[in-house]
Amino acid sequence: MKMTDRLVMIAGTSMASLWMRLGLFGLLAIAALWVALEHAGAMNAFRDSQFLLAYDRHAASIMARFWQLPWWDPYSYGGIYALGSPQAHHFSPSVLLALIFGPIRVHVVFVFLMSVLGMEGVFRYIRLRSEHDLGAAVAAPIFSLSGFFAGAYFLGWTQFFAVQALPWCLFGLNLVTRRDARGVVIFAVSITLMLAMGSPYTIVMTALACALECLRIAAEHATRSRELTGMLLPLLITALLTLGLAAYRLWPAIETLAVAPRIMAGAPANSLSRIAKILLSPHVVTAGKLSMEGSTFISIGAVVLAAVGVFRVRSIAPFLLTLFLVWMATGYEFAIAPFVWVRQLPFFDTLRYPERYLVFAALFIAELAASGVDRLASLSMRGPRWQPLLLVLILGIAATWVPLALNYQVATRGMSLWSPPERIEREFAQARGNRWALGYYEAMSRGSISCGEAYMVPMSPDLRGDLPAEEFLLDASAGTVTRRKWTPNRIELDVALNKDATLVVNQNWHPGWRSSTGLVRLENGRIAVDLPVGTHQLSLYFLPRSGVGGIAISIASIGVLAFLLLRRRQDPDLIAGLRRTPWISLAILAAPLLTGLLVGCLISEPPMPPATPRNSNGSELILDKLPENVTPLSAHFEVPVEWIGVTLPESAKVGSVVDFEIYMRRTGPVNRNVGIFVHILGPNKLLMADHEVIGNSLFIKDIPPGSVARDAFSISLTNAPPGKYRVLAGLWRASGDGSRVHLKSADDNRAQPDHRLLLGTFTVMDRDPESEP
Amino acid sequence: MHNNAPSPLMTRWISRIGIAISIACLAFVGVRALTVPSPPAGRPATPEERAEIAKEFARLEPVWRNNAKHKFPGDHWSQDDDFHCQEMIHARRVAANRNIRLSDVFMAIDEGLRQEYPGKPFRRPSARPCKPRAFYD
Repeated sequence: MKMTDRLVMIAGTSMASLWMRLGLFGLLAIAALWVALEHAGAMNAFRDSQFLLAYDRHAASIMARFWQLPWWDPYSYGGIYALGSPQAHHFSPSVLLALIFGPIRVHVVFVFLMSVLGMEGVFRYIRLRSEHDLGAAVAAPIFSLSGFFAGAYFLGWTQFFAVQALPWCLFGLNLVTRRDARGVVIFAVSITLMLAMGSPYTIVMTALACALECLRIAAEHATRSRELTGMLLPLLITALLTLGLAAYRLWPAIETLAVAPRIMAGAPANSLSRIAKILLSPHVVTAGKLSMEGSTFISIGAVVLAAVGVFRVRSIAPFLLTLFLVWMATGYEFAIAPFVWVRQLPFFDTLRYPERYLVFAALFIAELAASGVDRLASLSMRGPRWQPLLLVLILGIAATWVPLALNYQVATRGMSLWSPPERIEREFAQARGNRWALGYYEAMSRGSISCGEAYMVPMSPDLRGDLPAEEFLLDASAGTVTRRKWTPNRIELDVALNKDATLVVNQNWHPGWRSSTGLVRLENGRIAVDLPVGTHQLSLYFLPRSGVGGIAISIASIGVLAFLLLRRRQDPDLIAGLRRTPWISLAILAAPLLTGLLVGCLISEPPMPPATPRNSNGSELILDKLPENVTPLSAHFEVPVEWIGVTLPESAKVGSVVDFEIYMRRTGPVNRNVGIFVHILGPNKLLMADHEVIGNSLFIKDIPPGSVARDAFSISLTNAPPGKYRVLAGLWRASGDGSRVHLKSADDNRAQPDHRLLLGTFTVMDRDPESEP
Repeated sequence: MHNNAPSPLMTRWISRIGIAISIACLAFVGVRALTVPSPPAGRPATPEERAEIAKEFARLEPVWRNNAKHKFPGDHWSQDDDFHCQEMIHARRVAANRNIRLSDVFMAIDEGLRQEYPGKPFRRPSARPCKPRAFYD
């Protein structure tokens, strides 16, 4: 055998070995994480990492120091339900590793493991359709070591490493359509891992990837309709068992998001040249900030290999999928935009950045590159004239792997790092805290009320960070409260009362909190218990129905998945295996649902009160009628929205902040992109207060019919010259072409040219030189 | 691509080498992560220093609050968030200048607020409920 043939043969054989692949992927991951490993003992100072990575710290601390499961996290924002907080990862495998490596050093270890797992997933997914192992193994890092993950490491977005489970999801999905029970297990575990790692938004995007994969599979079986219909039942079983396995996280998270939504506005767009930079320019870190360029860096080598592989019949599907995902990533750039279409779907409206779809595209580019590698390897074995192609192949591999590793190193070298906190053992208390340095507070036995999460965390406005005692009586003269024992999930108190009184705990209320005496209720968002006169040995403990029920369903689902795997030994066909004993199979498949119903009936819990939409200044947003002190007006637009009132200041001083309110009704369906523009025109000065979402809480399309919406906003008059100011406002298509919504009618000569409405005028006066700094 | 099938012996050796590399990688990452030193944290602040720092932050709070009020007019959570950003930047500066632990600066702020209970009109011992902006770009 010739030397070149022998080399290719050894390489191919090596990549067929699971252990050799894991070894290779391990080495590549180490190369990428080389700088990160040097910094393993330092704390990531980036603002998001401070609260995101703190979840690992809090969970590990609760488990190691209090021997409790981290149901309730008292250290974050006055107390959160850990399973219900979408981005929290208190029940992630990273927490178990944190118990070994500590909460800071665990991060790099976990990322290493997830990277290797991701590369093996990519290999298996590509290998489903490729002829050889070599290409799939070579191409795997294009996805798993892409700039997306390097950026996620820099930013401390540990939950984004859940995307490494994406190829496993698609691999599992393919096995499911082949009626293989292993596929059900792989898919369900992958989705559950994503949720466990605090990445529900990844799951929304993965749902789209799964839909595309289903289309691909359908296209591959287009002429065999019988096979296609035969896939439906396995897919249904997979969907149900995935919901079951993920229930421990899914049930609480849905419960929380129903009352604490994530509002995401804007019309993000990426030009094609920007997308090229995102994919092909390496990361640059300037003054602690990571460039957008390189945020899904895949390297030039990957593109060259993909270009070699694209001219094959089997490459049509990944090529079309890559094009579609790049189109998705353009966001609002073009008039015809799939990103805008999918934003109409439930949950997809909470996704922010279209360029994140590029990491999904990286998977299909990897598939194309694998095809290119296999093609070059095959050609190089045709004869002496073709042997130089082996050199091209080696250069292509080097031009892919080396830049990927270096890009990772550049990103991690630019990180802003702090020394980790020293532990200070003392009684727990809430502090005002600081979400920009939240990683420090648990170690000081303090919780941080200051919050920087991405959704409206249910929080009490009455929490305080300076109380002499965290558990106290509303009427201090009613008696005494002594803390007997404090743990995150259980607080034991001695209460002596000379009259009926309300005990208050300086933490956020959740319906899962229960008391050994009396009923727990909420006192403007805090935990409270009404107690009768006398002495009480009180235990407050946290036992949420959704958590207990969700875990029970998940355990039952594990049993069902084990049953499917056992049945596979007798019959490799999933459905045929189940049909052997149809009634037993049906009963076992129904077990998770029955378990959930049972727990739901056994554990009672008051419902979470619906969130009250509020303006950014705290005022109520939805009213029954127009308040009395409001100046009425009447203006109708071409969309079914009516403005019925306004409040303006009569005068204000330079340097002050002035408040405005517009009152409106919605009388029919309105597009999501309709927002409010506000122009405040003064002497040689234009101030603007445009906004798409009322009070950062409500799109105009979501104003309940029959209600009045109060849109409160403010502007700063710093540097505003004295004089008379006119307030002009109207509706516009904030996301989209930016055009104004036509004004149909308005009273009192308020209608102005260009579909603006004159809301009124006010005078800005010179500031009193002695009154303000 | 490779018509000549590898010998069983070669396959076995490849697998053994793979196991060795995988274990070596895992061991390297684990040991490296556990043993690499943390950056120096600075010395512990004395109680007197913490009291000084607490006073300094109390004095600066109205200034930072006023800055935040104009940067995010009418948006209470964003004002609070901006205030905390300024507080964090100053805390880092103080820790660096005095060569003390950053956590001691945050502890000093906490102690200062507790000493002022039930509070002073120009300070807030709490933080507004989380209300992230709908758009950040």
